Amino acid sequence: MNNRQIKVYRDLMGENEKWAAETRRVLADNNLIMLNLIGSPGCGKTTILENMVASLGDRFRFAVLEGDVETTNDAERLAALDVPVSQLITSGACHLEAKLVHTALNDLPLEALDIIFVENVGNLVCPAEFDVGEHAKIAVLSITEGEDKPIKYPLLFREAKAAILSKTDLLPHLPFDIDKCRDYIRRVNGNIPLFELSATKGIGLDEWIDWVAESAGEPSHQTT
Amino acid sequence: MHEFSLAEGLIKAVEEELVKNHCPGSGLTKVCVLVGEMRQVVPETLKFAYKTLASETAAANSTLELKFQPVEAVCRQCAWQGQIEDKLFCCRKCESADLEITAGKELALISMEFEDKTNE
Repeated sequence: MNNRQIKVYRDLMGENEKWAAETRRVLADNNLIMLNLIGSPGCGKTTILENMVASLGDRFRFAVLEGDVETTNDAERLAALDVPVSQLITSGACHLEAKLVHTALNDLPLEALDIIFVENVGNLVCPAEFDVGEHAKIAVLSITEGEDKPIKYPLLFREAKAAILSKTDLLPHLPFDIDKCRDYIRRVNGNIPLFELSATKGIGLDEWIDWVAESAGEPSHQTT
Repeated sequence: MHEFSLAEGLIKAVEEELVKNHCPGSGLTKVCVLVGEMRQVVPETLKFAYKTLASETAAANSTLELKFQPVEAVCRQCAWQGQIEDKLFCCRKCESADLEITAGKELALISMEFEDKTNE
């Protein structure tokens, strides 16, 4: 029996890309940018967002789409600070996809915003694969995770347009080689800015906020 | 574990291609997918997800074959071109980190194979 083969070429991320493009259209119509924060559980993503509120003044207005496998804990922390927030519970899925993010835009007061942060599900692998319509992915790594993560999870650091090294106040207490970490990030993605900060101590947060403000002021900054 | 999401999209694509090419699903024996090596796909997990999710679809009796595309890059500084094998994105010639990835992120359905019943 002979076999018959047909050739096709069909991008399997196509459906996700369609929703991501739709989200980018809504963002452009409302003159908004979206930044997708990706990092391990407990690396400080929510704490960075919380502590930005106090340091921010009236430089820009932001909302958060909060991705979690379970619970609304993170959304409650941000809502307590009057940050508009929508909780996306994935019920097990390890990453956010474009369609879910697009649907959640309906929950936010888009006309009263400059920036939407997506706080992705805590994970260094899967979220890096999915375009959710963001202008930039931001890799968040805390120094408690070890300096070699950029080369262990190169896709995330390669896709990211900026990286945050968080919890730097713990540096004196940990055998973390920060020069090595900087070098690993450079070797995976030579061109991205790195923000070394401690959100709880307020160290380095202003430089990160400056970069975000500058990104928001330049909607043509689209990079994906 | 994003392999189940990928398999779901793959099966939908296969079903659409079957309709588009007027092929009865029952004769489908093999589906081939090109996976760029930058994609963090675990081959066995994707195959397992495909088998599980395909069971009640027109793709039920087909197997999934994966072909891998190595990561390739061009240096924006010295124009070096070549494969990146260790996931460190530095130029092998001038050591610049200013590289453009030209291949390795693919994730695409590239072919489908059928039993040819016309010769039976």
